[in-house]
Amino acid sequence: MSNCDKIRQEINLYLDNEISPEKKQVIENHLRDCPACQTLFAQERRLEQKLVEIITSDDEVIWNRSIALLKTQNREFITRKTMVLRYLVPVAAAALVMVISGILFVLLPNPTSDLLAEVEKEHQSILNPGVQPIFKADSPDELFRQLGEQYDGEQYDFNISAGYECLIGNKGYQFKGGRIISLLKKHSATQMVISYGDTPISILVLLEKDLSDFPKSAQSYLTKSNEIYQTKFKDSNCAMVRLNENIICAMGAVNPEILKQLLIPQTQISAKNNSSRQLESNPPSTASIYGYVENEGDNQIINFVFYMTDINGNFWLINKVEPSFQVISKSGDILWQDRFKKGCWSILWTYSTRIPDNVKGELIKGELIVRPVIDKAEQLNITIQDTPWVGEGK
Amino acid sequence: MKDRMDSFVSLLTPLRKSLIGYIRYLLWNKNDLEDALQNVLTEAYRKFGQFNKGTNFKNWLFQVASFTVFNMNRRYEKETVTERPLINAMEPIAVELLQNEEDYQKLLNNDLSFLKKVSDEAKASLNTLNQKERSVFLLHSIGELSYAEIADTLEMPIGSVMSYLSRARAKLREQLIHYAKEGGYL
Repeated sequence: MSNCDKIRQEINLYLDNEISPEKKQVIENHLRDCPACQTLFAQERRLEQKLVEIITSDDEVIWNRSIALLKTQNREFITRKTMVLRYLVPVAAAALVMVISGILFVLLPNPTSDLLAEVEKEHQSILNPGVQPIFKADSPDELFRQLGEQYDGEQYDFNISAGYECLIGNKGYQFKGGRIISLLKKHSATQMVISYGDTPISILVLLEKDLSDFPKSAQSYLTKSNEIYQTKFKDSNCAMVRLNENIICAMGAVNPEILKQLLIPQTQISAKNNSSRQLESNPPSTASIYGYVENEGDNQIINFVFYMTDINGNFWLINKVEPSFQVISKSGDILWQDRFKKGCWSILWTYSTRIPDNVKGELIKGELIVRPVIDKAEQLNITIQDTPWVGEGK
Repeated sequence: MKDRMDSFVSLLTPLRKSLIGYIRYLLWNKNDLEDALQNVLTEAYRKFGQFNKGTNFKNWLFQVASFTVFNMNRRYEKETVTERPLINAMEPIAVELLQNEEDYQKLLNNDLSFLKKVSDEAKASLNTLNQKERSVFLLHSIGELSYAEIADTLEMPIGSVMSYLSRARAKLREQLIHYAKEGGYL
């Protein structure tokens, strides 16, 4: 191999500045004495530069739009006092485990993990009449009226509460309410409260990543989806399952079997085959949405809870929710817009987004597109105008 | 809260061109560019707490971008990646990979002014690269990352980075020769 060939073998490393100083020196010495190699190196460098110039692209418009959207959404990072609002929380919760096989249980006395203790604390807090997040009403309108009054008075330190129908048909449970909470100031969770007879049960939905702060025994159990971990904390029993992207935790002073049942499907869901899942009940007949706009200093925060039920009051799985909100000026200009697409199996969605301080509009208009889980997904549009609002779609 | 966003955006802004370029060419469906950019920014901001201050932000950002875009690409099963076994990691420059050295010499000697006329084709030539070749090439050329940084970003050995880069360059040059000859510029 000639000296030139040896030098040319290193051309890539040399031009990319990835060569050792010693070799670099050798190459540069050679280049000084060899016009042919010098030309080749220069031509290679030029060709690469030209090619890169052509493919380098810029798009200030979409960049600015994306940055603006990022700033306005602040997904998952809206803080209020010690709370963290979750952006879109799929509340998978009861009655929606798809197929569970080989469910295993363990019973461990008093684990000491902080996060489990926090869950228990949150559950206890709803037993205390001072902070009980329970709203009872005969109709959604009535519920919402109550809800609005509570928030007007800033009486409660939580953000969303909704629900008037029973959660799982006539199985002895009643849906009492819900809220978004912060655990250890870093994990946001949705808490739903149901009652079994007179005993309240909390169902908390956390994210998969929160698992690391649960006891080691729970972690090792929940590495596999759909296996139920069971434990006891103080006076409450607790059952946990990992479902899709969530950790679902049911807690209450009831028989563990009751909690277990909440996490296991009853008769509503069956698997037809591995790829398509279908509910064995009536199609969803009612879509309910509860929302309000909350003022926090100069900021306005839009919150809502959304779910669909069939004629028996059974919740339906929704696999896609696309909320979009606009703030519109008097003259009809769109001053701000927020949209989000999310695909995930869930029965209850909560949503929270912050309108930036500088947007002062007359009207907030929202639209929601949902896809319930049926053989042929159908699209449902709900348009919400004015605030506060309660929307229903058929 | 506001500080966090401000410091995120201030780190992000100088990387606008390279990030957009990287995403644009890595993405299978070009119509998804804005969605992809938003996903990348949202994901990066979400993980920003995990970013170790004082380490290489660009490197970290491209890693987030790579994973996000790879995931988006999975929706389009266009590419069946048939990996050629890696040749010697120290593979020399494209020249030896090229089918026709004579044409390549002509390309090198050309003043390259024709490139502007075939810029669309030149851009499209990136499509002839597989995902790994493309991401390595883009991280190197647009992202201006070093071999070691690319290896870190894409979690592959440095030798593979060099091979993919070399192969990507060879393929791109072959395409350029093809377009140049077709247009009568060579």
